[in-house]
Amino acid sequence: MSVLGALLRRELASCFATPVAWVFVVIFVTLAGLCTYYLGGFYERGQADLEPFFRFHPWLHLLLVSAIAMRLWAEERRAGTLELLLTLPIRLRDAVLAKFLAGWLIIALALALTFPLWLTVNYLGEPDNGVILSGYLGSWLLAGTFLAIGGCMSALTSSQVIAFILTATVCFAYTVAGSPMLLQALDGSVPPALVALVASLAALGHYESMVRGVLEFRDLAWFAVTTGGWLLATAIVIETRKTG
Amino acid sequence: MTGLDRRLRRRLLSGSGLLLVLVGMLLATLALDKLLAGVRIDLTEDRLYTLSPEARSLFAKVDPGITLTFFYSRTQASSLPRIRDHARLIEQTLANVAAAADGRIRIEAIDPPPFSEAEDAALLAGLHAVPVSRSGDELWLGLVGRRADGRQAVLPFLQPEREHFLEYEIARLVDELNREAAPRVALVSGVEVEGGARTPRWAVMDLLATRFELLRPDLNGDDSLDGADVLLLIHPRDLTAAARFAIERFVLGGGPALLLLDPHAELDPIADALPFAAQTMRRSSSLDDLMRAWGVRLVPDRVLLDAAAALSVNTSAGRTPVRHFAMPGYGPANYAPRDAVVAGLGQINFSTVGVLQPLPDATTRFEPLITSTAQSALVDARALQTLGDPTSLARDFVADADRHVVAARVRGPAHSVFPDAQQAQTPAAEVELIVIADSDLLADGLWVTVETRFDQTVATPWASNGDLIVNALDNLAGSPDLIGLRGRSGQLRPFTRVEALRRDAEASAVARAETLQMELAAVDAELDRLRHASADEPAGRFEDNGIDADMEPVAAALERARDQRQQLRAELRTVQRTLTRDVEALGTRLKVLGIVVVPLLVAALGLCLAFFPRRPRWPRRERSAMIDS
Repeated sequence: MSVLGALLRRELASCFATPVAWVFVVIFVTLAGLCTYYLGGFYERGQADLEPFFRFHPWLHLLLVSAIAMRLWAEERRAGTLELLLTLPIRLRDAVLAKFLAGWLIIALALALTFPLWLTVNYLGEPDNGVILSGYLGSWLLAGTFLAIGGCMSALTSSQVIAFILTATVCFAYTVAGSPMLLQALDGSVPPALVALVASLAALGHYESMVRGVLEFRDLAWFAVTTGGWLLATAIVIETRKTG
Repeated sequence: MTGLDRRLRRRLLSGSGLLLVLVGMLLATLALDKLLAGVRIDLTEDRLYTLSPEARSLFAKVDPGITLTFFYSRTQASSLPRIRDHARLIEQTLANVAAAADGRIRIEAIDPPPFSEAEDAALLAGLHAVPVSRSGDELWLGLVGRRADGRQAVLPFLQPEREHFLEYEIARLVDELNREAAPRVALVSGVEVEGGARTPRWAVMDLLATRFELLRPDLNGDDSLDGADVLLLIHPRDLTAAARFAIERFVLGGGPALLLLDPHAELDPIADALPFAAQTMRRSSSLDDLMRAWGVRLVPDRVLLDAAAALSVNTSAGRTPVRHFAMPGYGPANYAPRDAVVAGLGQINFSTVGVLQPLPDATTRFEPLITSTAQSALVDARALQTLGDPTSLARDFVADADRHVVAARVRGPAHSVFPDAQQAQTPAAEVELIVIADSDLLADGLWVTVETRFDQTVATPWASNGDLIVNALDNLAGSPDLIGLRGRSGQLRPFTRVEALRRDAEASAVARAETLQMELAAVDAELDRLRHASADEPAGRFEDNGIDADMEPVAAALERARDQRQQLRAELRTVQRTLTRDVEALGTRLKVLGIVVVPLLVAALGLCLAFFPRRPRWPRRERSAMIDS
């Protein structure tokens, strides 16, 4: 069994050793249902698509992914097991990836357990299931990006609470970065290069086009680059804080 | 190096490392954004965000120099999600158009602020704005296409309801701009559409003259159809061999044609002049041999009667209008859903319409455009000849179970009917036809009101007959890619189950309500009778000077009737409520299921997994090896 595989199993085992991970999943599924039916007016709207469902995912991920991510590194650092882990003959890359993948799989589980909603919309009408599949993929990729950010924040501190707040803040910045209001407000007062920088952070735009059913390669590239970048940053932080 | 220095150096390295990563992310996303623009997998069922092959082919062939300007009030639309979704589709489609045209078409987007020059430009171009708020904010959602030489064409307002045909409308706009001149329509008609000795020009001709250049070749003479883009053949009758040859040559050469055939043309001038007995024969169009070669036939000597679509007509002054089974008015429910020619059209009124059928050995494809309702049947055309009272048609009417085709596209390979005209023809030339089984639909009385005011004739259409002809000719005169373009299924997908519930509820509620209304009316009548009875009785009884034993029951009867009335009205109210009851019940059930039951099940699943753990079993050897090393 490869090192990465072994690490991954360790991570999953430790996640599910306490009910915490499962509590997150249940909360995600409940909140998703509440948001879809009450905030999104899914039933009253009368349209056989899951737009009211996917509309709230960025905000659900903001909360829940931050909660999953905060535990990734901060807990180990606090308990002292991080040093132990890093003395093992494993590559740092594998450790970072294993923790990320474990968290990502839990999110995948949470998303998968919302399938009753998919059954419901197919019962009520004839939705475009290709679009729904694309939406789930987009949501998972967005969550992955948030998770990578969260991992880095978690590696920076030994306090889970601080990790949570940092993660939520940065993810929030990514979420609102593309909003037209913000860009318009910045337009006059800030050099265009900076505006372009802010616009390039816009996670929502990339997510929304996937919710509409189009897998734009540049959106997939954005998710890949951003997630990879933050994972790299995580490794750098861990490496730097390994000693001293 | 001291530990402190090393720590500092580490910090610096990590800081710069992180900065590098951040910058790297930014640069990489910007670069990939540009590089990968337009590369996508469209997972929508209908490929909404991808152009169809016909459209792509059309845009690839245009001449350079066309600019498409999209006027869109983005700010006003911020609170209108349906408009926002639609605008996104428009923008994506325009981007696809630009990509397909490979630089030949330029796309611009303008958000015109109120009272700005941009808004004036939009108005001048002919766009319409729609008010969206009480304060008078207006929404622009139109497209202006302009050529290098200044000629322009517009789509005044791109309605979300017509999003299925967005691609078609943009393609048609570009196709129109790409044409050098107005399409030339060759008019060959057996009825006097351009006016005769005592009849004025038909309004439909005025309409066509605004969009097309009308040619009037004399096919029985020496004129041919060369130089025409489309043939408009109306009620062909007694065509000479030369004329039929010219028509066939045009059609088999790929020339598109709109044929209006009629089993009973009411306005045939020559028939009008014939002795009565001979008229019926004359009133039917004939193009039999050509039609046979093209794989379609107008069912001979038969007129369609349609009970469900019958128009109400006035027979004589003073009498109530009657429904005329031989004058059907068809609407969107009867139109082919994806064909641009009938898309968005309102009601089209026909008179003595025939039925088209594909021939069993046809080499062409038969695509229905307009079909009748199922409450229809065919009747001998002679019955129409001697028709005095339209209601007589209803008397013996028995519907057959079929929906009949009254308009269709016919396309595909066909052969010549002239034995010695094989020529150097391609073995099977493709015909491109639209056939309508009525010519009377062109008459003013069925679709337009023409008034003369101060020397100007103003035509006000009240049905879509004219639009149908214009759409058909427009479509046929366009490039072959345009003719092949069809509409999409669009983004609207209703809850079919909920709608079925609503329909069922309505059906039963309406029936029950009618019964209750009748009972209520009966009770009211009874009450009236009782009241009058009790008023009369005492007058009659006073003479006896005694208490009338019959008055008691009257009062009691009144009481009973009033109670009954209360009850019935309460029941009626309940019936109104049941209209929404089933739908709401389903909604509540689904909400409980989704918000309470499913999470509980998930939690239960988690509990099960907790109590029956399948933890990864690490073989003792491996674990201790890892710890020891």
